Amino acid sequence: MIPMTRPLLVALLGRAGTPHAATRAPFRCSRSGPRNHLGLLRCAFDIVLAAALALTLLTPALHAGYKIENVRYPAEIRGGISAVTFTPAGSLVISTRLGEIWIRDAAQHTWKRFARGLDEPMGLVAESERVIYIAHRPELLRATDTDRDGRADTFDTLGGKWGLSQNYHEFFFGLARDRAGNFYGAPSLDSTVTRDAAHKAEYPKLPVRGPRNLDHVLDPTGHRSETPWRGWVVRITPDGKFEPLASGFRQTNGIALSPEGELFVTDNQGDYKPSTGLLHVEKGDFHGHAGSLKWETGYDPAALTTEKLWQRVKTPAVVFPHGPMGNSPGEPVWDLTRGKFGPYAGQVFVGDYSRLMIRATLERVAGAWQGACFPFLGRNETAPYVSGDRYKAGATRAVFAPDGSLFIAATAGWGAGEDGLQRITWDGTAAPDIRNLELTARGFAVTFTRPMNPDTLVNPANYELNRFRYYYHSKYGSPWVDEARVAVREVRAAADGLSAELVLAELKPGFVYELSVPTLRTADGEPLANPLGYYTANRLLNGERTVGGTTRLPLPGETSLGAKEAPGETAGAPTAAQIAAGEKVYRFYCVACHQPDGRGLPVPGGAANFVEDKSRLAKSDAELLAVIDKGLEAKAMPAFGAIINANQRRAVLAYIRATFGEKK
Amino acid sequence: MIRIPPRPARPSAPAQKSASVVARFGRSGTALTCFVTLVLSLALSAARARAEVQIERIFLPHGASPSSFAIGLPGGINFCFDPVRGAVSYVWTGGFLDLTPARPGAGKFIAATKLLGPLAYQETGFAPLRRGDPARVPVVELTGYTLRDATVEFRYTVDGTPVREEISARPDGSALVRRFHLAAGADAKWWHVVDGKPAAELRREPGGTFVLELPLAKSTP
Repeated sequence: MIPMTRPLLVALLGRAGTPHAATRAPFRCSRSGPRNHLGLLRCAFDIVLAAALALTLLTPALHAGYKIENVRYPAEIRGGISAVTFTPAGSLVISTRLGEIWIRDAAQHTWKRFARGLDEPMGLVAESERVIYIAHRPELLRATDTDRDGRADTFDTLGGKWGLSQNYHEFFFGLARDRAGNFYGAPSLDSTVTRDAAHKAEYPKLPVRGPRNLDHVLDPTGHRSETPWRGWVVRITPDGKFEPLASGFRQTNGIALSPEGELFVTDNQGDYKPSTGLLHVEKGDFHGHAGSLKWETGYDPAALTTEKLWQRVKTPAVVFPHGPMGNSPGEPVWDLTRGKFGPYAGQVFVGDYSRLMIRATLERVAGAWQGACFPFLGRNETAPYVSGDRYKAGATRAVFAPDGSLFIAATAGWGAGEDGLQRITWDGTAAPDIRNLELTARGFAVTFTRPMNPDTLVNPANYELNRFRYYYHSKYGSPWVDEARVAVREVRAAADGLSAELVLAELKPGFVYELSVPTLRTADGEPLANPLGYYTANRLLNGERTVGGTTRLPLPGETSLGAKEAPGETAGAPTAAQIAAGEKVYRFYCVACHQPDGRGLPVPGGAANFVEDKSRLAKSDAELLAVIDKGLEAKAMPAFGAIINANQRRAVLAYIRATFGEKK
Repeated sequence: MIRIPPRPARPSAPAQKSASVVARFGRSGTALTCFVTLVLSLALSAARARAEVQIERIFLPHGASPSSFAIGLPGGINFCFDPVRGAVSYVWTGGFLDLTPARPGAGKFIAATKLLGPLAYQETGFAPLRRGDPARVPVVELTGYTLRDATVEFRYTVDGTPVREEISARPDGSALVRRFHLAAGADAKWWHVVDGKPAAELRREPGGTFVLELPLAKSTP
C-alpha cells in the first residue's frame, strides 16, 4: 500500500503542472476578471489532472491484493450455481441446481445452454465444448453434442448404482477424474427429519431405487444411509464399473484430486462428525459416520460398538474447526497457477458456505497427509487487501481459470447463501499473512508472506498456542475437549524475517493446534491480515500417533458437553469473564451465520441482524436461551443444546447483548 | 408457481430470414409492416419452441421412482418414463409441470411436482417389458437417452439385453407409440405385463423392431 501523505500529494501536484507548477500554490484560484479566465482554466486543469494522477496512483493502493467481481450472466440462468469448471480450450462451464448446464465461449464470452432437465447436478468434468461429464442425483452422465449445434443431445449413463429416494438431503457430490479416466463421487446420507406427522407416515411408502433400510446403525442420528452406498465415496471406471471405495461420510460436498493424484474430500460437521475438514481418502477407509456401514460386506450390527468404530476412524487430514473455520466446506482446489494467485502456490482453497474461503496446506508426515488451515477471504477480509464486490455466502464450488484467477460459484437454498458467480484476481501485492504452518520435531515452523519485525518475531509472548481435540460420538458435532495452552519455549527466527520455528514445551499427536498471532508486526509495522491458523497433528514426525486421530471417546460419567456446569454463574449481571467466554462461543458457533459484526447477511434467509433489528434482542433471556438451545427450524437456526452447555449459552447471550444490544 | 416456460427455439433459417425482413422494413420506416412481420416472426419462434421436446428429471407424482423423466412432446402430450421400471408409467395432456413443490430452495422439504393437465393413461407393475417368459420379472438398467426434435430415445438393458426405445405421439394424439429396437434378442417374443391386464405380446415390425401403442383417453378429470 502506498501511504497517501500531504508531501506525496504536493509532489503529485507538482508533477502534474508546468515546470513552474511546483513553485505555485496549487489551489490559489480566486482571482477574477476576464484576464484571469485563462488562469482559472489552467488552475482547473491542474486540479483535474492532479486529481486524476492521484487517483491513478491511489487506485492500486486501494485495490492492492485480491479483487472480487461478480460475473454477469444472462437472466435465463436461474438458481444457484452448483458446479463450475473450464474446458481445455478455456470455455467456462457451469451447472445450476435447477438442472441446466451453460457454457461461456472462451473467445466471445457468449453464453449458451448446453444441457437441461438434469436433477441437481453437483459436479462437472468438461472434456471439450462437446463432451461434458455430469454428476447429478441419479447418475454420472456423459453428455455429448453429436450434431455440433452447441447443445447436448445424447446422454450416456456411466454409473448410477447407488440407491436413490425422494429425501431432500440426497445428493450425488462430485466430480473428480484421475489420469486413468476413473471418476470419483459421493452419494450423501439422508436426513431423518420429516416435515410433520403426515410426512413421517408417508415417507417410508415413497418409491426408492434399490433396497431400502431405514434402520439406524448404533444410535439414532439426524442423518442415516437409507439406500445402498449412501455415505460412501465411490469410483466409476471409464467403462462404467462401480466400486465403493471408502465409508463413513456424511455430506461430502467437495471432491478433488491433488496434483499428486491423491483423493481428498471435504465433509460437513454433524453426527459422528465433530468438525468439518479436508479428508484424505484411500480404499477401505472408514471416516467416522456409522450410518454407511450397513452396506459393508460382513455388516453385523450386533457386533458394532462406538469404541470399535473409534478404533477404525480416520480423522481429517486437516480439521477445519467448526465456527472459526466455517461450517460447511465445499470443493477443494489446488493453486497450480505458479504465483498468479498470490504467494500461496501449491496450497488448497476451499469455499465454505458461511461466507468464508479457507486456505489449507498439506504435508506428508510419517507416511500420512496432514496440515494446516487459515481463514483467507470472506468474513475476515480486511481492506485494503481485498476490494471489489462483497464475497458471496454460499460459495462452495471453485475453479482456477487459465489466466490464474479463481472463479467461485454460490448457491442459496441451504441457509443464508446467495446465488451467483464471482471471479477473484490478484494484482501482485501480498497481504501480510501466515503463509504456512508446518510440523517440526520440536514444534512448528511458521512462514510469512512478508518479512516480519525481528523484535516481535522472536518474542514467544506474541504466539498464543492452544491445543484441543474432539469427542467421537454419535451426537451432532463436539465441543473442544482437553483444551490446553501450549507454552512456546523458544522462537528461532530466520534472518530474513520470513519464518520462525516455535519450540514447544510439549508436542503431542492427536490434537489440533490453534496458533493466534495478533500482536506480530511486519517489518513496516503492519499487523497480519489473518493472524489465525490451525494445524492438525494426527502424527508427529517420528511416527507417533494416537488411536482415533484428533478424537477420543467421552469418559464414563463425563458430560458430552465439555465444559462443566459452574454453579453461581447464572444469577445477576453478566461478568466480564462471562462476556469474554461468550465471545469465544460466538466466534466458534455463531459467527458463520451472524457474522463478526452481528448483522447477519443481507440475503433471504440470512441470520438475525442483532444491530439493526432491535426486536431480535428485545426478547427475554429465557426466550433467547430457548432459541439457542432448541433452534428455530423455520429460520434455519440450528439447535445448539447438544453442543454447548447451559453456561456457554448464557455466556454467548451475555456477549451478544453486551456487544450488539442497546447500550444502557 | 414455477411453470415451465416455452423452450427457446433453435435458430432457424426462416426465423433468421424474418428477422432480416424486420430489419429491412424497419429501416424503410414502414412501421405497420414491421409490426406485422414481428408478430409473424414471434409466432414462428413459438411454433419452433413447441417443436422441442421438454425434459425434467425430478420428483414426479403417482408413485414414480425418484428422478423419473417428465417428457413433454410437441402437441401437448406429456409422459412419465420411469427408469427403474423401464416403462412409461403415465401420460397426461395439456400443460407440462408445476415444479414449485420439488425445487431445491423452496424450503428443506420437497414434494412431488404437479402435472398441469389430466391423466390420459396410467399403468403399474414392475419392469413390464419382458423377453420370452411374461411371468419373469427382469432387471432393468438405464444406459442413456437422446433428445430429438419431436421424440426422445431411451436406452436401457433388460436382463442385459440392450434395448433402444423411441417414444413419440401419434399425430392425432390418440396414442403414445413406443418403438423398441433390438440389436439382439429379436427372435424371442416380447411382452408388456402390467397390473390388472393380461400380458400383451408386442407387435413385431420388419427389421427387428417391436411396437407398443398406449391408447390415450380424451380427458380424465
